Amino acid sequence: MAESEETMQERIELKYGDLKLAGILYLPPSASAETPCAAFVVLHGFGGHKDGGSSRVGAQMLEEFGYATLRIDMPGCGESEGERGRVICLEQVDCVKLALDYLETRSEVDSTRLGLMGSSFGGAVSVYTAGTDTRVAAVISAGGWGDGERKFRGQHPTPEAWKKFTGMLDRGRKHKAETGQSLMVPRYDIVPIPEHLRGGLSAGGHTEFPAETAQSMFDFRADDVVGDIAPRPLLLLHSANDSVTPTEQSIEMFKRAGQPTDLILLSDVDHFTFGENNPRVRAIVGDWLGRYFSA
Amino acid sequence: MEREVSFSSDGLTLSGLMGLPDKGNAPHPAIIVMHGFGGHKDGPQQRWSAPFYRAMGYATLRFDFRGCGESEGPRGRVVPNEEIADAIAAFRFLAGQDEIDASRVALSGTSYGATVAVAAASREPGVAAVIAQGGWGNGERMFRHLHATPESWEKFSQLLAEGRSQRQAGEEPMMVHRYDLIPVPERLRGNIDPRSIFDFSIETGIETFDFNTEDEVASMAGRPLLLVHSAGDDVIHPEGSYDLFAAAQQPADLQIVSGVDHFMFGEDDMRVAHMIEDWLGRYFPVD
Repeated sequence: MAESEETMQERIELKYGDLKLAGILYLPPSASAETPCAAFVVLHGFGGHKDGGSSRVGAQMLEEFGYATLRIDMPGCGESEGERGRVICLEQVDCVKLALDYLETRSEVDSTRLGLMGSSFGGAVSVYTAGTDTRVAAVISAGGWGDGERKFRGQHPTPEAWKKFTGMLDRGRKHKAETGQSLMVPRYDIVPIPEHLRGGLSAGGHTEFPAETAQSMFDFRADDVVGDIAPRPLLLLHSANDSVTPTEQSIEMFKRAGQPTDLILLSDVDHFTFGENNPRVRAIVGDWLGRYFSA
Repeated sequence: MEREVSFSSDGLTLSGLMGLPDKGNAPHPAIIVMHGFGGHKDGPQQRWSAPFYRAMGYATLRFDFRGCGESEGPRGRVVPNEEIADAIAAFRFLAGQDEIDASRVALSGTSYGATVAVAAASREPGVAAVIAQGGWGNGERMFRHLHATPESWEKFSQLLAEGRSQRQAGEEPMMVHRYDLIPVPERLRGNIDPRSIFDFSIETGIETFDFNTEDEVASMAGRPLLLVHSAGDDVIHPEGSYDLFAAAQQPADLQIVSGVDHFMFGEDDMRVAHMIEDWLGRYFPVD
């Protein structure tokens, strides 16, 4: 009898300080201590979670290619503990490192072949983590970004929108100083998303975030470390005409990256690249993996 | 199978090889394969791409630009606007053939031929789609990457300045070696076979320097464009393609591929082949 998908998925828990983080580990049937397999940590986007479209569909694609996957919920997201919506970039980097620590303890996983795959916010975190942790052997970023401030300028392009956005950051700082509490702000005031794309967000994802989240994104710069990934392979995927995260973000990361780095901008996908089940995306990822990080 | 054909461009007879696809019924969609700087229709990249497209179901025409290969025209004079005229002449010739579906003719060019393909499609609205491998938009920026050290830039600028003063004085333009205009690393020179042009009029340098396809690529709007470039290209910097991408309208794909070099269409690389095949399937399908 064929083993059902259920039996190959295992719920796991990571400890981040006092917080418990939830994850789902998938091991291919062939993985064993004798024949350990390559594995990917799969990261969700801004305020999303491990079971949202991009993470789940992206992980499934990797599983079909023969990799183990570990999808985790970041602190404050999905089934993980933590103040709801308190999403801080550098904390996510630490959590990815915990996930790598965990994979290193699993005998079925080859700890010399650990990759990262992330979408959007998760793409930025993937690139940053790989640039600062040499255990990462390969990286796939879809719709990621390398310079938070420049990204926000692209997302709030008019003088009025920019003034409103930076005013929100100022108010957040003041509110925190005066009350000790975070100012909660609506998701689309941080990252505007066109109406027609909102279905691509993780169902049940956060609609409000503390202003510190926006500040942490503003200050986050994968651009500064992307050059340290080479000679480990990096695949930068992006919509050619992304209506959420400006396409230039991946072009600029490419300019700062060493080789081998591939930059693939596709005109028939939008921001939620993996969730769209585009056959070209699948072929490109499959061929890239075959060339640089075969299962 | 390919047959020899010829057609006229500005009164010059250009030489080509036309082939029908391995499958499908006429009228066929077609792809015109265009060579790079001072190359010819039978160079390694053209020998790979023409049968590659025919196997998928496209008719092909590969031809020699004026002054190159077996075509007429002054040797060593390679000028963007003249090659663009040749590309448009090739398009009109092929679109006029009985076996070809005139509404479905695309251009595929490498290096200089990529830049020419983009410009020709920008000027000729009948071109249905473009594949541009290793091209650029802005001539001056392309040359600045090629002559990156101060010494090299100084030397190159002096050549151009001398050429411009010859032009001013109505003198015969001097000839310069190919690698003084477009240097190619030693290890890649096997891609430029002996039938290529090695000595060029300085007019080639001047006209190429002054040419900027970024100004016109937006005219391709609505017609699909695939820009492919080697990630570590050490002939034409990949900036050439991402700046063209930035100036282009959608649908445009930019695919910058690692592990292959400037002459990638001659490398029979599986990843490159799949990317092109999938893009064609999406934007310029046979059926």
